Amino acid sequence: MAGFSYKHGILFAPMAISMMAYAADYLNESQAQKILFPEADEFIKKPITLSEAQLDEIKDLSGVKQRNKSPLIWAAKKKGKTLGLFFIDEVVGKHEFITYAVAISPEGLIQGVEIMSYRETHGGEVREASWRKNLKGKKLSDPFKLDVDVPNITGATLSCRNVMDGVKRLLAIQKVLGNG
Amino acid sequence: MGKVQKRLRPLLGTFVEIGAPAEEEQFAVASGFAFETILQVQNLLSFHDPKSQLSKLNQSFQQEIILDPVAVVALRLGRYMTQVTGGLFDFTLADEMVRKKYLPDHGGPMVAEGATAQDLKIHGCKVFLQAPLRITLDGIAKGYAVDLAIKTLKAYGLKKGYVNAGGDLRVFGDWLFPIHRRNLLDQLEFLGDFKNTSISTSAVREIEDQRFAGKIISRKGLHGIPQTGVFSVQAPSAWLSDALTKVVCIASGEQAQKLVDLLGAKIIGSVGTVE
Repeated sequence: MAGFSYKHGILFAPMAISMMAYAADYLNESQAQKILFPEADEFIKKPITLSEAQLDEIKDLSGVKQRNKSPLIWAAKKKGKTLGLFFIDEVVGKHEFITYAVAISPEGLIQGVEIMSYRETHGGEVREASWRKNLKGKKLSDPFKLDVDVPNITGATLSCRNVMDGVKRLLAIQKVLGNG
Repeated sequence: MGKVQKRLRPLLGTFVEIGAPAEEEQFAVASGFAFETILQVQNLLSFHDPKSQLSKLNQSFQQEIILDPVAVVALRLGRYMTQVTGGLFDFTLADEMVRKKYLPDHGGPMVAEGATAQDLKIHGCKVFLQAPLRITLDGIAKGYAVDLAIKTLKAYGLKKGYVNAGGDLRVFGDWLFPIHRRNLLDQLEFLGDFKNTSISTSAVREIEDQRFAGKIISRKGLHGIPQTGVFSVQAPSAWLSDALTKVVCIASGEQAQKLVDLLGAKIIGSVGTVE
């Protein structure tokens, strides 16, 4: 707990923190599956390894490079019939690390996109008032987590372009692989 | 009342979070429909989508067209804000945005010399452009979508909750809700605890930041160059707080304060608790 001082019964954090991470978890794998394919009675994981030619094709189709050769894909089934594909993917930006799930129909249409977890890092300091709020009620002996819940933030509108580029990439994967 | 449930989806070009202290099942249904409401607003009012009702309107010079009531209300609000702010908020600025390549050009005539917001005629759901205009609701539609989503959450029985569409944040119900603001250095500062209100924030930076795609412009020579800073407005509705942050960004302090007072809103400058 070096770096924190305890004065007058209030926990003070230093004004400058070299790296601060906010994290919010929204849905786990099965919750995301249930929301995106509520009718499915079974999800079958597809073991996939993309070839170099397929990776090139995905780049050509989507304009975005697919880095992971083994994307996470499940076939959503109802009584043996395929309802569509369920993907879990990640995008990494300068400050964000986002895990999200996408449902794509057999016709290649997006059925839904849900963010599963969102992490944001801040290089700069966090204002003391903010810290105090987050640390209220915590004691020095409590385990201190570097990841704190993403607070409710108002601010200039954050672009979701990274995720939308990711979705385009997953649509291209669906096209390259088909539904088989 | 269960623990706070939340969901996040990419919509309206940003991330939209919906949250409420509710049972999991009830929240899944209510938030699902609230997201649908937001998607509907996006489909109707997107300037980027050539098939949206807004794009249809922008290409309909001298033809009366019938629009969805949800789109008509947004147009009425946009026209009202353009008038009441004397053009500080200006929903006819899309031609400038197209020229600057911030928005795509779907064809159709550009704004005619002397055309104003008054040239948009609305009778019920019938809408008519009596002079060529390029209308964009980008400065108001996110907030408007938040208001409709809140209405949906209430309709599905939630007693308290919030919707945050990329910084346009509205909270309802008996709930003191802590809100932070992102400043120009990407730091978060605690603004206070808020109840039954809406807060929107806009930032004007000297250097563009790709993470924040929003652009605030004014007619060249009309209102001068925007000042840099982070500007937040608190209002009873999100459409109003959303539109007013743009006004506060480009108006002089006195002018902004007068308009904000007139419309029953408030500029949030310093940090504190507001109930």
